[in-house]
Amino acid sequence: MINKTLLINTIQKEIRNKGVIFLFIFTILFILVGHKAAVTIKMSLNESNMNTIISNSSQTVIIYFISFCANFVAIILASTIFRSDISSRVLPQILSFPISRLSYIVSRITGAWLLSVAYFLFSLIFGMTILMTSESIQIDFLSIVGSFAFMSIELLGVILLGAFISFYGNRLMSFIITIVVYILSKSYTQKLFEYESFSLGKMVNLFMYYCTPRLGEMSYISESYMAGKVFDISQIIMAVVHFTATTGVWLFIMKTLFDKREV
Amino acid sequence: MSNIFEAKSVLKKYGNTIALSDFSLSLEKGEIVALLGPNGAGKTTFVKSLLGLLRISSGELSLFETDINRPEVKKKLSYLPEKFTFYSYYTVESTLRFYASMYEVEKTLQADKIDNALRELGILELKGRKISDLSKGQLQRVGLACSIVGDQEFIIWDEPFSGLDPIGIKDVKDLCIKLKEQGRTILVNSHILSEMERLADKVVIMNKGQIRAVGTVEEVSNGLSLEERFYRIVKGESE
Repeated sequence: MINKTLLINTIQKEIRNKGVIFLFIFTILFILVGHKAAVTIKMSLNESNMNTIISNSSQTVIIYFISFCANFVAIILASTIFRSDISSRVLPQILSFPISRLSYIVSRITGAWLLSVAYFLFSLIFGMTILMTSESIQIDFLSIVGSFAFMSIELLGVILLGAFISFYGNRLMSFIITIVVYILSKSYTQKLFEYESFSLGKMVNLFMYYCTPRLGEMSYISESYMAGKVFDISQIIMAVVHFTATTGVWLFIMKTLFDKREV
Repeated sequence: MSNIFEAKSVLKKYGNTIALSDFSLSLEKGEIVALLGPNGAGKTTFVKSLLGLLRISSGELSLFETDINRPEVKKKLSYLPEKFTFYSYYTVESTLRFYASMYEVEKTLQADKIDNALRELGILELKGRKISDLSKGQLQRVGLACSIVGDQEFIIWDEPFSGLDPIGIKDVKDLCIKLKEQGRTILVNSHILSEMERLADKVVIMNKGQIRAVGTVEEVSNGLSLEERFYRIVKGESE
């Protein structure tokens, strides 16, 4: 299903994306400057109690910041992977090759996903290395692996969402709509169903919660892992199963709509 | 002889506009067929329908006696679009390598096939140049090289002479004859009649989405020059 040539082409194409390059440089600078500031504050305070708080805060801030930027990178990539082929008029040439349209979609999405995961992983390793080399903080690697795994799943959902939206709008519009839907999707929770009264908002919530990949849930698990929270395995399995099933359904819808599209 | 493609009563509509109507045509192996017509006659619509890029409204289309929507059927064909373009940061060599990979050419054979294709089009010296640095004519030659790098059985060229100088046009015509001698089948979409008159085994004149004449150049011309016949068919309808 994945075409290797097209997968490599996606990475080669998107690694030149100015938005991604900017975010990459920005992340590195933020980690370096932020860390330097934390060290300076610690030295000037010179209180052991405050030092521990600042060290832990540095770790949390770095992880949250990297997660935020990784999602942003995924949104940028998602809004361009198909759009750039359409605007550069390369799409008819690609679809004239002996590949199915599903293979095209999956190869492009996988390429963008690998790139965003690589961005997240590199930033995470860089951030943790900076912390470990200059501070005596304990890093729980198991938590980082757990957090990385769920963050990777979340990034896949974000890319699928953005790519789906990009079929129907230009690059900027897709980018903005994806951000809005992404923020909304993080706010849909089961708690809203506790209210008895019927409303349109509740119906939308119901649909979003059960019928779309739960980005908020993946994000919550990822961040909680990092904070050292322990999850019940059945809760994790349910979350992954729901995410996989809804992602599969939306990929199928995307493929069906794309099959009908004329290029 | 086996059919390369067959179109039976194809109808293609864009909303209320009819782009192809009652379009029936078949192509035999080893032929050079010229699809001629004025702008907006439906030539590109037909080619895109054949490639599965457009969905026909009704009728039947088959490639190598197989449903056109099956991806494997495209292994035997290559396509040069009307305006060839590719990612600007790719070099000529990497563009051809991409095409060769997509056509599933064995990795060990790719370098030789790329050099051969570039040599055929007289652009071997452009191998290391970026797509963004090429002129319109050079880009068209790269597109033509891409269309032959995989040694496909059936080649579709949509306006292959576009942007080419007289030397380029002569090179393409020579290439066309050479490919035919190798047993390839070529479908050329063009509105440059003089170039196709001496080249094509079969000509198809289209206008307003319909086939108006089909046959050898002699059959279609019917005692006139192809240009005169074409003019009468097209102009006669528009008056």
